[in-house]
Amino acid sequence: MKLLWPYIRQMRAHIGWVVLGSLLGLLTLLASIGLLTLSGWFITATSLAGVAVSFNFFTPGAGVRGFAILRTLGRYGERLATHEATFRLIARLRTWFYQRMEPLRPARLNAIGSAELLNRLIADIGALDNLYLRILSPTLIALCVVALVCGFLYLYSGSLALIALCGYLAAGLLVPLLGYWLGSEKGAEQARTQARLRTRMVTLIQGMADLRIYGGMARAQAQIDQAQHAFLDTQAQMGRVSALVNSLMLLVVGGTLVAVLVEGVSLVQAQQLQAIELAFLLFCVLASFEAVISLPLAYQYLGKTRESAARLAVVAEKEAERLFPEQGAEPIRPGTIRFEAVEFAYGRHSRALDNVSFNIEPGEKVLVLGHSGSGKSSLINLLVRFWDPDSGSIELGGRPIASYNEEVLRGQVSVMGQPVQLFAGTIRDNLKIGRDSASDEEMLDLLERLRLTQALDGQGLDYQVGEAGSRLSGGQRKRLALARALLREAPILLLDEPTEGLDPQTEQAVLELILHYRADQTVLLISHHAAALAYFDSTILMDRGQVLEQGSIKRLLEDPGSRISQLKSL
Amino acid sequence: MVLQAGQLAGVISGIVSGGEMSQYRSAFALLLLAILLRAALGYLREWSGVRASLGVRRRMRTELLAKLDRLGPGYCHSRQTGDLSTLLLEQVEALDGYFSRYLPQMWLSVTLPLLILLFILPLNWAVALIFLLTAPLVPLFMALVGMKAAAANRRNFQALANISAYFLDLVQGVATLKLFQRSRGEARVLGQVSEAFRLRTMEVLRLAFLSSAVLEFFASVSIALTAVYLGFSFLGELSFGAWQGPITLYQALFILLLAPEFYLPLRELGTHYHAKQEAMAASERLKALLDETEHAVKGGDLVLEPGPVEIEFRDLGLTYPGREQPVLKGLNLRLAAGERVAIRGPSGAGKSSLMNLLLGFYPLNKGELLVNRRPLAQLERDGWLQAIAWVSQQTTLFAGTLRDNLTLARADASDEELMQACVDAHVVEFLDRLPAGLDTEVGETGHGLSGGQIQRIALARAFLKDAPLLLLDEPTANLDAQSESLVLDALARLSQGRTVLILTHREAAQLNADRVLELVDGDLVAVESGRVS
Repeated sequence: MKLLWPYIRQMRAHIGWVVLGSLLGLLTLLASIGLLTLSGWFITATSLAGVAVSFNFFTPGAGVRGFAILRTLGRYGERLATHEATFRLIARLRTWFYQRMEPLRPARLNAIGSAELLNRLIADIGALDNLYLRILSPTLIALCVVALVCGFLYLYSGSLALIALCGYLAAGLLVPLLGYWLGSEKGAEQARTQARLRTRMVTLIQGMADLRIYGGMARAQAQIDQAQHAFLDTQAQMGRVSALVNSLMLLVVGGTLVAVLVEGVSLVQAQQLQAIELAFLLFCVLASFEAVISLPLAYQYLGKTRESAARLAVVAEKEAERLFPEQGAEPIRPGTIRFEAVEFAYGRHSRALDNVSFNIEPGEKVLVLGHSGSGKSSLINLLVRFWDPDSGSIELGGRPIASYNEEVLRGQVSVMGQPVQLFAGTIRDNLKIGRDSASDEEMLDLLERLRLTQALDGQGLDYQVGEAGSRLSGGQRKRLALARALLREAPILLLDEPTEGLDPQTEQAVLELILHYRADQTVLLISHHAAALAYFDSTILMDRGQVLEQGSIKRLLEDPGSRISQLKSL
Repeated sequence: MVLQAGQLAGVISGIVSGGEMSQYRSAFALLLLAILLRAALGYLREWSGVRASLGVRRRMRTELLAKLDRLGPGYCHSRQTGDLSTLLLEQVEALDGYFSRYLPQMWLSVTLPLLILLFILPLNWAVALIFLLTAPLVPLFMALVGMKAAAANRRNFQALANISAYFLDLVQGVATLKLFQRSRGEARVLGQVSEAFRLRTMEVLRLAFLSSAVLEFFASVSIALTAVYLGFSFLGELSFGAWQGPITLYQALFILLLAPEFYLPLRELGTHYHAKQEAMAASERLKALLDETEHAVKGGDLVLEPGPVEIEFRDLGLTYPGREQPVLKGLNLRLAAGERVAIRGPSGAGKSSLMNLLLGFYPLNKGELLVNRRPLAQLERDGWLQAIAWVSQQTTLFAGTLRDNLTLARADASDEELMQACVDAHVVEFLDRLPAGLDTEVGETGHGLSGGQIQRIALARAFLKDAPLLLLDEPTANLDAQSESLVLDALARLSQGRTVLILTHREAAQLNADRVLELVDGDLVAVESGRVS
């Protein structure tokens, strides 16, 4: 229950619908019981009254009709209200979950995997609809109905009330408990196997080309088959449990009726109860079982709901490490970057940065050179605080980066990372992420200068880029991401391999654009080939997490012993 | 059930008219028997429904996967992954309600009421008439409401597919959105999207509930009508209906107990009707996928003989579906066996499309593609792909260990061969820095590995495969100059005796090629050797 508590708390926002739904449910059930009880009484009474006696049949007749209509309307209203409450709750939970997920560091989310997160946002949150619709509300209604009916029976006979109570307990408590006990493990298993099936299918869909060529298709399909088998298997087991529970319920209902009847008959014979009373009490008991009949199934799926809740909790209950102070400082000298003896490792094994120190002045254009895996990309990860260094200090705009709140920190840098991430939608949608106020002319001008325009089939900014930009080639995706980063107004521009995958002519045009688009912007460009050296003011040469050489490119090139001049002459 | 009701009614009416307890012992026994029988049969009925539905869904999903396989990577690329995964998971699951509950219930709702009618008709024709008249109204109204509900349901599924595509985008892009200070604002958009979905769902549900309300109404009204009729008969106000003599209390109670049972199957059908609508809407979308025209080149049955491969493009043309401009127009090229040809061109000129054609992922619009002088379409597809080793710009790693990802290329590779491939592709350099070496788990997007490292793993895979045709799509894109030269050196060794097609923009890579061509405006232009420096 503790696990489910956060979700129950979320209900407060929609308490009106929640209460209305349950009240209508109660009303419907009572009307239903009333209908059968009154009908039973009416018939028995009239048959005993016989032909000659004058009998007030209008009141009960009207009552029967009234209950019938009340039941119909009540059921309709109840369903609308409960589902309204449920879906409002689900919509709210999705936003809530996202808000809890958003502050987490990307590295943590990556460890979960996007297919898995998708499953949590859709299936797991959807599974929580059980909580109110099938568990909380019916339980409350059942409690009320059982109390009322038992009270009503007690007016006539204590022993009958006791028998009925036993029946309700068996149907509403024992059988559900059995269902829960049998179903919880499998329900949890079902949620897990479903998630696994989804992950495997997403991998197959996204990686089909690779699988085809390397003949892994059969293996991937076999893996899916296996996951599907496990998933359907848990469903079959669940199906068996629910069939068992349902037939047990029939037994309990039947058994209770027989017991009431046996006891009733002996009461009638002992003259403690009128036969006519027995008849309508029996109808009353029969009808009232409707209150508990849905409970076992609900509790059987409680395990599944709990599992979903637990999986959501893994993300939602991670205390977002208090990365950023509420009230942050403002930068003193916008555009400066300073690393001082920075040590950093992603895990325990590899050291990504080893005693790295450098200083970048506002407006400086810096090329960071190094092999893949030499720690270049770690510089960006640290500057945007997706990670924090193990030791040493990093300053941005003249202050330690930890002193800024998230807004001020993000406002200082515009980043184009690796791999680039685009979003389904038009070119315009993607560029507006960079700056909402960017005009069409400005965007088109950028696309033109990046030589992207002719690739867009003449549709310009309205061209649909497809999922994650899949309707663009690798080089086009890079340039679009670059345009997005250029549009954003920030004193510092951080670029990770922006010219990768471009032919030399385009590369040249792109570099010119980067360095001149905003003249006073500090540019830190990461690359692994030295061709671009001539365009930049200074360079940082890195290898295995260490800075080998840094400084003004002009000065380094004049020194024939420097590694930069050796690289250049290669 | 009828037995249960009959015995119950018998006992009550007996008691009411003042009988002895002992008289009813056999009735009680029968009553208990009826209850047991009902429970056992109920179990069997439910279980067989579940079994049938499981079988259907398993076959359906397998069929859909096979279809996706035939449609090929080209098709999967053009659809949103989130959308496709919902189709395969949720929408196949949506068939469950129809097969496990609606279909059996359909039978029950026809046979059970008829059976009950058979019992009631001999007792009282007036009640039978009430039942008979109200029962057909139920399916009629249900169908009327149902038709509207089906359309609403279809829209609802579209909304669900959109919502999951949006979510996948959001989840994959959250880091980027953060950098652009957009990630918090997305919470609002997410709220709107969910809200729109809620409105859609409620629209469907309102209709579904209306149909069950109609059912409920008829059931309630006719039970009330029956009760009132019976009461009036006893009072002598009404004297028609019974075949002979006045109605006995036994008959009246029997009828009243059966009345709810008469409508129960129909009412249950009503609750499952929603499930049916859902299944219908889902199956339409599933069918749409199954009916999708297969663009991927269908394989023939010619087996490619082992040994060198020669390739010829004749007047090759390609236009992507839904686009007007052709990517390739009338391209001619002959790759002799063992020849190394590099094709360069500006990004987006169609180099990758050329590869996709050669791999059979896209159909040819125009021209011919010959492999060893036979049209590609006539070759057996798997055998053809067996003959190709491929390294692309973006490599997908699969959940599993590094070893799993490598042995995709050759399942029976020994540890020595694996290590040799790792040495050749310069994977060894970072191999010992991985926590468990070859047995390190690499995730969905190869987390923990840099782009360059993933690319080197892809190269190692190509080394392992040892195929006569080598396709390289900007394979050195993520390698630095130093390791690039090492890889090119290894590639040169690997290229011995193989036909190689390299797509690249880099000069260094082209130096290892026998011929360099440039892709301009959808056609190939030879680059004079003097211009290659």
